[in-house]
Amino acid sequence: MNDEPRKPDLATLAMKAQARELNFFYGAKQALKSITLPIYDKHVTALIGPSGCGKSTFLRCFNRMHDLYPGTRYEGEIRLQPDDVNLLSREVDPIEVRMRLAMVFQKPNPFPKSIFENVAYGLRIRGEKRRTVLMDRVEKALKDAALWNEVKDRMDELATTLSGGQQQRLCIARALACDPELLLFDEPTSALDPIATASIEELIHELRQKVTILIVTHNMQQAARVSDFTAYMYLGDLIEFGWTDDVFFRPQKKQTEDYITGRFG
Amino acid sequence: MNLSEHLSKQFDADLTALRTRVVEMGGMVDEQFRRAVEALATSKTMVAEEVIRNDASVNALEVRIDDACAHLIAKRQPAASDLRMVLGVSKIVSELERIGDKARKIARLTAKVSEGGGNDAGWIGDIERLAAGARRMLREALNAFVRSDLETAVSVLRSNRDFAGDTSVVSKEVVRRMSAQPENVPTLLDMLSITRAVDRVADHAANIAEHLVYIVRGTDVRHATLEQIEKEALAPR
Repeated sequence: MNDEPRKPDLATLAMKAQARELNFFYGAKQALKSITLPIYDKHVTALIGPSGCGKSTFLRCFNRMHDLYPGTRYEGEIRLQPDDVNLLSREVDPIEVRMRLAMVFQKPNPFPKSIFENVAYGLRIRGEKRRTVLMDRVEKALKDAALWNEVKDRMDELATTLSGGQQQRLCIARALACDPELLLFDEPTSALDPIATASIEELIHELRQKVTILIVTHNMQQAARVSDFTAYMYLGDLIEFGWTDDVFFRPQKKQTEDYITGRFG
Repeated sequence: MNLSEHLSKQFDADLTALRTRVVEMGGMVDEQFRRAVEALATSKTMVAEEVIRNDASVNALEVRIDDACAHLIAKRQPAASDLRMVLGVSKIVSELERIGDKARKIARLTAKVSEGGGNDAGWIGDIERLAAGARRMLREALNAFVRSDLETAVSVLRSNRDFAGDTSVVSKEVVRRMSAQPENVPTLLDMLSITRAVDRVADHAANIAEHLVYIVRGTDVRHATLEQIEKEALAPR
């Protein structure tokens, strides 16, 4: 008997974004080599690979973070759906891009403000001034980030008084408050203890019903646990992409197999 | 099979130890089965009793290997071919343990069959011939496991198809004698059990070959036809 749930045909899945022949350069050094990768809507895609493989570089292309540094260059496209906008186009304002996407980093980075103001921050800079709207959106975001019950009675306290795991969930709430279309996680649990890690993983599991997630992780078991799709990258190349179940049980490429079984030297 | 080394030498050592123990257990049950058939053919009840006593060692080794598999999963979180190897080993030792049970069963029936006059040359000759075939399949299956050799695994599965026909002929002859010699039915029933036990040993060897296809290719072929297995196992990768 085969209890493995049947995977839907990829052709029937909607794409939230797609990288097409994406090259990226830090000066003369090419960090991404012709990456073509679909990001399926309302699914979690994990990027794995050894340090320096380009997975964080790839993630940061989505919200144009590289624009902040001189000497960087993109070639190719990242198309965001449903309007098929090329996030990398010179005509597209990176600020606009970042309005639609949200990123959560390795170390929690709450602003030195109250818990409430941290979550309300994105809404405020988008011009929202109505107190009741702000309160509703902040409460909803904190509930979605599974933090509401822990902070509802201390909304005016400094965010930095929260524990590491709570701070990371606060950062996720801050990201969710603006209804992002795509959530980018850059090793979101590598600074957290196992319990806080488990709560973030549980959260990712719940969030995927509402939002598309792209996650970079060094922890292969985490990639196996939380993602629907896995992409293995090495030295700027995309080596293999597929359903996580397949990549971790029956990878097609020996390079992938060597990496996930710990034979990578 | 991925035979290149892990970054962790201890992981390599653990996996190698696991494979070595499977081969050790395979050798143990092969010897148990050989001696059980020898005891039957020569009516040496003392040898039969020894086979019965030794079955505890086979069972203990099965528990040890399964325990090693569980610890390896807990400590190393194996993936892909490593995970399939650990899961496959756990299944293979189950098959080996059952071969051990069949040897014990034959040994248990030896005294009764001998006393009942069931060890006539014709039937004993058939059993010895079938047992030699079953042992050949078992050894081939274990060799295939050691070398991750799917061609040999497929050849074991082919042999098992022919083997089932051979044992069926011998079983039918025993059943025919039941109607001809109704007074001997109790002994003939024991002889039928022994014939079936030998047949099951070959089946377990074939199951080991199927588990090897799972380990190497990641495809569960337990309920597939021989043709499907040949296609899966022998397709180039």
